[in-house]
Amino acid sequence: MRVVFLSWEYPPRIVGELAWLVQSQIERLRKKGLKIDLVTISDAGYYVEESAPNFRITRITSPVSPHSTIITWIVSVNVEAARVVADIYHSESDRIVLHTHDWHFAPASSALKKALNVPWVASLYSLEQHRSLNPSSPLSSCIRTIEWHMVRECDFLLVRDEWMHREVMNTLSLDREMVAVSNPSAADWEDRVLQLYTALVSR
Amino acid sequence: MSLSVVMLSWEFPPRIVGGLAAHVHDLSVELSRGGVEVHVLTLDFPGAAEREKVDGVNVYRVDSYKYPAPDFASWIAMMNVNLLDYACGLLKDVLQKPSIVHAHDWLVAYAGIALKHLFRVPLVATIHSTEYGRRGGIHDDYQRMIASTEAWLSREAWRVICCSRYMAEEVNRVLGTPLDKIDVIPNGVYIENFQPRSNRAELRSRFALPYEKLVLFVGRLVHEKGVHLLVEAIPRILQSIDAKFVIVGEGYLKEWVNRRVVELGVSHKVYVTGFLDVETLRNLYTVADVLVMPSLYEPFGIVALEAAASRLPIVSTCVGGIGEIVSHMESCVSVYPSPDSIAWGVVQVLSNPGLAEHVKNNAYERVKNTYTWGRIADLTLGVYHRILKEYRSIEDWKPRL
Repeated sequence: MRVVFLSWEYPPRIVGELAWLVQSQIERLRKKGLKIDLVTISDAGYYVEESAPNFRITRITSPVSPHSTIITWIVSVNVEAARVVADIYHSESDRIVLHTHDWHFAPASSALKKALNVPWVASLYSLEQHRSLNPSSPLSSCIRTIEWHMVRECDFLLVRDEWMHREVMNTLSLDREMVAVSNPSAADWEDRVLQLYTALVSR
Repeated sequence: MSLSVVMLSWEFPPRIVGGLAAHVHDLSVELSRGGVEVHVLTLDFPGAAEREKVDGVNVYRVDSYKYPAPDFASWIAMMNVNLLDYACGLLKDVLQKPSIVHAHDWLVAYAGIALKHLFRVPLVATIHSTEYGRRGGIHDDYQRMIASTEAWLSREAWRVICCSRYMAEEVNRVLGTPLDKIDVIPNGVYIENFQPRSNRAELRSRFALPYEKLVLFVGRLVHEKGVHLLVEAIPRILQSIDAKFVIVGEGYLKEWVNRRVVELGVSHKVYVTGFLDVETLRNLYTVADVLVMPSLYEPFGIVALEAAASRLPIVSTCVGGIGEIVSHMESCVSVYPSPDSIAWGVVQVLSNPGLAEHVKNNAYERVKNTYTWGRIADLTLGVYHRILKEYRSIEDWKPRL
């Protein structure tokens, strides 16, 4: 089994807390012997790092420049992500699980799931409703709609705490069972996530 | 082995924005008649079925407003996300792997490129026009982004199709696509759709008095189509010839046209009709006395084909692709993009029946022999077969990882 993490930040690209959360999760899963591919964004062009066993980082960049909004930028980056993950899928013999972090790679993951039948776990740490100063602006409405579809399209949704669980259910009007509270700082976090990955690939 | 094509286009009848809808429709129908399994993925339109078979072509219409968006380019991007999602579900459940994905213009670049990589099938891109050409250069970051998306689509495509040599050279110069990666395949016309109907006199009487000549303009009312030049030429033409001018089309210059004809004192001689239904437009071609195409930028010039098919003499600036369809004093009267020159050309045709007869007959013969959709579908099929031969001869998809 090989897990493909998709995150828009990872050191040295640090926008907020997500870079550290993703790095810590990858380290803990690697200690369990899991093969991990990380697809993340680079501001300095496309390159691949294979500095540690069973861990490969593919840093992608938008094939289009400049951009008028974050939406055109992120959608073009998603097409690149779909390309890279499809290449991983076609060149590796392992079963693949996608694990996205927040909304940024939801479009690519939804397409990959449908096209290649790969399971998709989505972790949600925050919502546009909370981040945006004007959640009803056209831009935030677009991002909120991406989140709305993401929580419905993914195979399993992970949130950090009960509060976020309630927020997701209420704000995104979610009515499904495939949501679990899973705090990445919990001692048994990696065991529970590994169990989830295993269950999804053996469906 | 049967060939299946997924055609991506943001417009397909009844959703008609520009010439793309008719192009994709006619090409798809003709390919389908030639035994190709064609699946058109396009955007929804009020009253049109989500899935239907149109003249042998499978058409799927996708919700174009699933995601709210802050501006046009973002709407295009999110529309592509939805188009891609729909296509992935469809391809996996219904169609399996198509032979070719064929994308029309940058508006479907995101979905087309992603489908290529997800299903590992060759991508063909038809670049109908470029942002550079449409805007007369690239002037801001918004236009730069669209041009960059066009370049990305051209890079990702196995081969690029352009509708004229003029466009091939523009795509080469502006997007950096090598000329040997571009195939020139013109647009076509169904000549039988432009033959005279029985109620011509009645239709003509709606637009012109019996002693007036009827001058026709068909196109979007935008700067690149040169409608402003024709409007300025109207008083000069009226000095020599009594005529009515029928201006068909919509666009941001419509208000300007309506105002300017009043200022010039010729509003009683001009009809600005807006969009006309297909039937009325085709009949208008057959009752008019001359078509004026004063374009400043024209990647192909399908209106010239329609006029020629209707045996209507053409006066045109012959820019871009038009000059590859008709030529001066042989199949059209070529003019400079100035009101004086346009007035001269129109008066030449309207006051000289022998010249009008000569150019319209030559243009008709040229269009009848060269611009049939059957021939164009054959040329497109040739591009598909060439690509598939190359595609099957490679050992691997060659991932970049």
